[in-house]
Amino acid sequence: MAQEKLHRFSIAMLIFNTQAGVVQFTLPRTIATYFGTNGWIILILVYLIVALNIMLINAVYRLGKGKSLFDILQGGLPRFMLIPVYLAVGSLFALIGCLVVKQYVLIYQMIIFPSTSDLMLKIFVDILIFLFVTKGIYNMSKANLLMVFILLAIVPSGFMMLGDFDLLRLSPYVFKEGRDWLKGFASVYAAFMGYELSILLFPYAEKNNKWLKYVHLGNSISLLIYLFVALLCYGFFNYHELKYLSFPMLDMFGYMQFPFVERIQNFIFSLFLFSIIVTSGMYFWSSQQMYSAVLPKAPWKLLLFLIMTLAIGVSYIPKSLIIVEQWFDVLSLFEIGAAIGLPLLALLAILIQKGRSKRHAS
Amino acid sequence: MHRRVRIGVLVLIFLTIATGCSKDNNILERAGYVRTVGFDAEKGDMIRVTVNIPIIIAEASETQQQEEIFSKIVRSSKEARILMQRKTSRKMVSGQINTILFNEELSRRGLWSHMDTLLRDFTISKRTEIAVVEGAARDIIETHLPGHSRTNQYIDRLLKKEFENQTLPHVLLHHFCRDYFDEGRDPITPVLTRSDKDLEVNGIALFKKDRMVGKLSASDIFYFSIMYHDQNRGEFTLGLNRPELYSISFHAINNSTRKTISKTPEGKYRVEIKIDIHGGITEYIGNLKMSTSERAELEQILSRHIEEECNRIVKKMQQLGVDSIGIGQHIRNKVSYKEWRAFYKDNYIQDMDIVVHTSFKVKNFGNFFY
Amino acid sequence: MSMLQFISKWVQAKNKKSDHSDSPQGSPQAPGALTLQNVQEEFKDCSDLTHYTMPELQADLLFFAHQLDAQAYERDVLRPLLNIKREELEQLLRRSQFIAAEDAVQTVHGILNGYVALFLPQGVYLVDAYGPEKRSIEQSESESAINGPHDAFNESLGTNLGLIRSRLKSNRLKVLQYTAGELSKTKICVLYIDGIADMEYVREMEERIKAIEFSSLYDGTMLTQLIDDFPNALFPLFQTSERTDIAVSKLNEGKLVLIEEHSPSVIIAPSSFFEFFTTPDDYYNRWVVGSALRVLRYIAFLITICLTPLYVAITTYHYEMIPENLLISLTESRSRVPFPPIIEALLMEGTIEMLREAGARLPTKIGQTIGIVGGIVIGTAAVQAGFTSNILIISVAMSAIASFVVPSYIMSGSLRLVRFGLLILSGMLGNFGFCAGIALIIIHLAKLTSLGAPYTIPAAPVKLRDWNDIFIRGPFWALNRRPSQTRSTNVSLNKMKK
Repeated sequence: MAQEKLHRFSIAMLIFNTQAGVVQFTLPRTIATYFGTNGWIILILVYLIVALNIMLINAVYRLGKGKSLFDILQGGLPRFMLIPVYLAVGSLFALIGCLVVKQYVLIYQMIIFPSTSDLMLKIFVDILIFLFVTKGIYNMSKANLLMVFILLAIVPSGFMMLGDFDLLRLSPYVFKEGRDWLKGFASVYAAFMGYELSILLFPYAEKNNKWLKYVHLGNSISLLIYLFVALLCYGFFNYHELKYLSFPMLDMFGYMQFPFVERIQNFIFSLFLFSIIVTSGMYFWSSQQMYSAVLPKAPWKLLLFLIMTLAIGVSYIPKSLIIVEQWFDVLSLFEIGAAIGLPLLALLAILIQKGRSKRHAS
Repeated sequence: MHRRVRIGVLVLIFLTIATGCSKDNNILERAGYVRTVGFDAEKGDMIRVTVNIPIIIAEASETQQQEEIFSKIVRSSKEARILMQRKTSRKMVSGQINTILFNEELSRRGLWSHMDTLLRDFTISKRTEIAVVEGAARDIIETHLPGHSRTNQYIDRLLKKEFENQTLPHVLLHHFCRDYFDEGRDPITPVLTRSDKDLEVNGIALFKKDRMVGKLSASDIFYFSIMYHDQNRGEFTLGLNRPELYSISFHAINNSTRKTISKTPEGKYRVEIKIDIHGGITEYIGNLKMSTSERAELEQILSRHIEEECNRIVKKMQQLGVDSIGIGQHIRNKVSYKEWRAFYKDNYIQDMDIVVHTSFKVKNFGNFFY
Repeated sequence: MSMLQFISKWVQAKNKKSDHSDSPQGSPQAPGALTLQNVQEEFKDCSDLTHYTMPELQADLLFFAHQLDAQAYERDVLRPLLNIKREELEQLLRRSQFIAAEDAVQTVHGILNGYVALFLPQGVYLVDAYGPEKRSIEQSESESAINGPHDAFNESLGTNLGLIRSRLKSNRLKVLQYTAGELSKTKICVLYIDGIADMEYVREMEERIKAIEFSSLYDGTMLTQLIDDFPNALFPLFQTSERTDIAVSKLNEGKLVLIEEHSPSVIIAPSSFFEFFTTPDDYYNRWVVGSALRVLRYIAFLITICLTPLYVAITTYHYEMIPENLLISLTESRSRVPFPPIIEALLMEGTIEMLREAGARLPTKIGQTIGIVGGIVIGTAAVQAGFTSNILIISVAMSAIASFVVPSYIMSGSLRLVRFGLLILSGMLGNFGFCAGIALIIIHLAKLTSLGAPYTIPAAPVKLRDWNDIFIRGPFWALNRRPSQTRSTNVSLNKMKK
């Protein structure tokens, strides 16, 4: 049977789940630290900038007439120039994919399994991710949908916190007492990272322009979830306290109580494994796409295996959460560069090609 | 190739599982979960930590509930834990702590250094109840009070019930920390005391940041609560030595509290606290007829009295320089950031005019139509 | 031949992918010329072959008496032949029931399939008188119905086809017939409604049936595994049922129904994971009640795979998740158990599975005794002896009951196996292991397809319009569209495009 196309709703959810991840647990603290009072408003600003970036990617799709990114690039630029780009971006994606897992596992180790080896947990997750990615992008999107449904089922429990939510604690001040806005901006922007992978989905999506809107939908769902979490944290705790809470969202879930179970934060955090698998899986998949463009003959599963093995090796270097977060800060800067640079490069390639064909025509 | 990959993956999973049984298990019956922790002040900067661990002993087919109680003089609570660990047959874990008691002396010294461990430890719930005890926390934890359930359960249930009935402001570790960090509000905790063979909720401890600076008596709890938050249940009784009102009791108290901020010509903030209270009478000894317009007279007397009491409590808070009812937050939400920064300093509550107005309405007067 | 050899042969055959024809010239080795001797030689040592001679007509009849319907034999063969003279024979043979046999192979094949072979000097003729002994139409044992039609399929192909035909009076109901099985020559009928079912599925199914290389087929549930997309899948990829109303409703939805000869289970293709949690009873109840039942079934699904693993995870690693009211009683019941929770749980789950298996194989009366001995005696004694905690007994019993709420017995078997996997993972890594297990299941589910259609439809890919007939049972006015899995061009359920 012919390869089925990704449904646009699946794409929206794929983008959403790639964006969301462990970052939700720390985002309120980041915002509070960098932007101070009512810092959650920055989310909307960042969202708008991200939306612009997505539009840039959409423009590539429209102008490239739905061809894959690699076809577009190779149409306009010489291959020897592209190979370093592919290798660099591919490695970047692989590093992010693997640090996402590393971060998750380190947090897990910290809060639940203090004396279990993080490497063991990480390999465990990596195997899941390998299985996930080897199913191919279409099946990944299906698995992702099922996982998203389970994850979204957590959201209503947030309304249980409304009893302890007080608008009074939000305070009327905006962005007071923040510091390092630029750094904060990068961190918040990094929370939205994942949308840039939509540039690799061109050949897999439906052959019409409708799905482009759904990338925005995915991004908007991320925004809503982030806003909900951040707002809830600002009103449930307060901004001064937020700065001192490592994982405000976990504290909030810990506060919840059900008749037959309480302190569900462990469980919720474990459930976020789904999000991690998708986030990391998508990055590894993208990385593999990049490397496959360099080595088109190599079997892609073998390539993926090699990428992941190498990534595990690299991820063994940072030993503590703080260092992983520092790496993330650096990587997310590169990633922002890739998110803007790749579509621009593609547009350049299209322009060159157009110019060339015009010359041919005349 | 394809099949081989799959087999390889399965083997890997199997290996991971085979080697990967986590060592961090806390099997229920092998863990000694601490229920109650008490902190007492000792000489120097030392503290005495007392913990209560319920254990269940299985002998043949019978099981028996017991308690392990340890007490140590140490510098910090985790040091105590390590010392106590040597004494218990279980693995001491803190995930089920439900009550933390501080004695008054320690509270007056300041609690923050002991709070650190409570916040850093992931396993400690933010739902933990905290209370200040008069006397020694050790005393309360160590003695089994005859006629009551085991002490750890007794304290826990007592406080839970009080919170439930709203006869005590709902204060858990979460609220304490939240108010500690926030500007414009100071934390409070309930005060427990031992009276003879029972424990008793004996008032509210007023904290300034992490230091206890004063205490409201048990009879003040009601007046404090209605200023502290809106209630939708709760009881209250009062007696005045006058013929109209010898004694009266209410239930189903329902109040809404509004705090309005204005500025006096001298540049001081003036806070008006308006409290509307409704309640149903359960008992009344006095010479007014409820069923007639004399009811209004009674309401008047009550309103006046509650007002006086509230004003007295506010005065007390101003004297102590604590803002336990969060007036500062209301001011913060009214003024510009600059103004707030200029205003927010130590003892800011003393620079304010605070007036309480109450109006009391009798909702019903029960089955006895008189 | 042992089962193992069967399988290895089948795998080899499958790997070769040799094109297997289902022509009647299949297995009997081509005999010589078409003579009575030759045919008899083919059936040498088949003592159940009946040879009936009619010297006055110079006729010889060869047949298997037990394959015949006595009435048809008498009406179509015996009586016409007995009542005529030699001269009239020519005319008689022009009747349509007499089919001239072309060669010995066809004759042998015909006899095997319940034809009477008539050897005459003019030639050899075959008369269909097939009608072996069969079970009468009864209720289904495995899928009993409270409401709705009680007649279930039985082992007779003709009866089954009749049951469906009588319910769908439309010439659009098409029946394609194939045979599979080298020895068994089992007939397989593919039913679909022309204009509703997607012909792509029909073609795909045809290919798969033709590709079957297996010596003999015994049941529809076995056939599903020979035609499914993923032989290693954990879950059944095609729904099977013995109930007529299910088969008819699925045909109406635009799915294919496969009826295998000698099997009361018909196969419905394609199927989705969620269809295994629906029963026709949902449609016979008021829709609110029907929806509640569906929800109940999904809750049961969650309980059956999650409850015991979570018990293990929580009692082993996450003691802080237990509310204080439960803590004491749970600790108390655990305190006398000498094993860690994972061993305890595996022990009890294993016992329950053994009980179920024992009960399934035994006659009803003994089965009940087993239930009582197992459930009450062992359960109580195990708790009293301090072998397990009573809360675990409750959890194990609840998940066992919940597993039977799932209507499909085959699915319930898969779910129980999944539970063991989750149990082990939870015992190893607590909640983390549990969630990893769930993720593994989801990844596995997402990969699966049923006849090429996504198995997890309508949840993934999302088809919102199907949700009112999958997660709840919507009112009939809302159920006006065929499920999208069928890819039917006739989407509207009630007004069919011609």
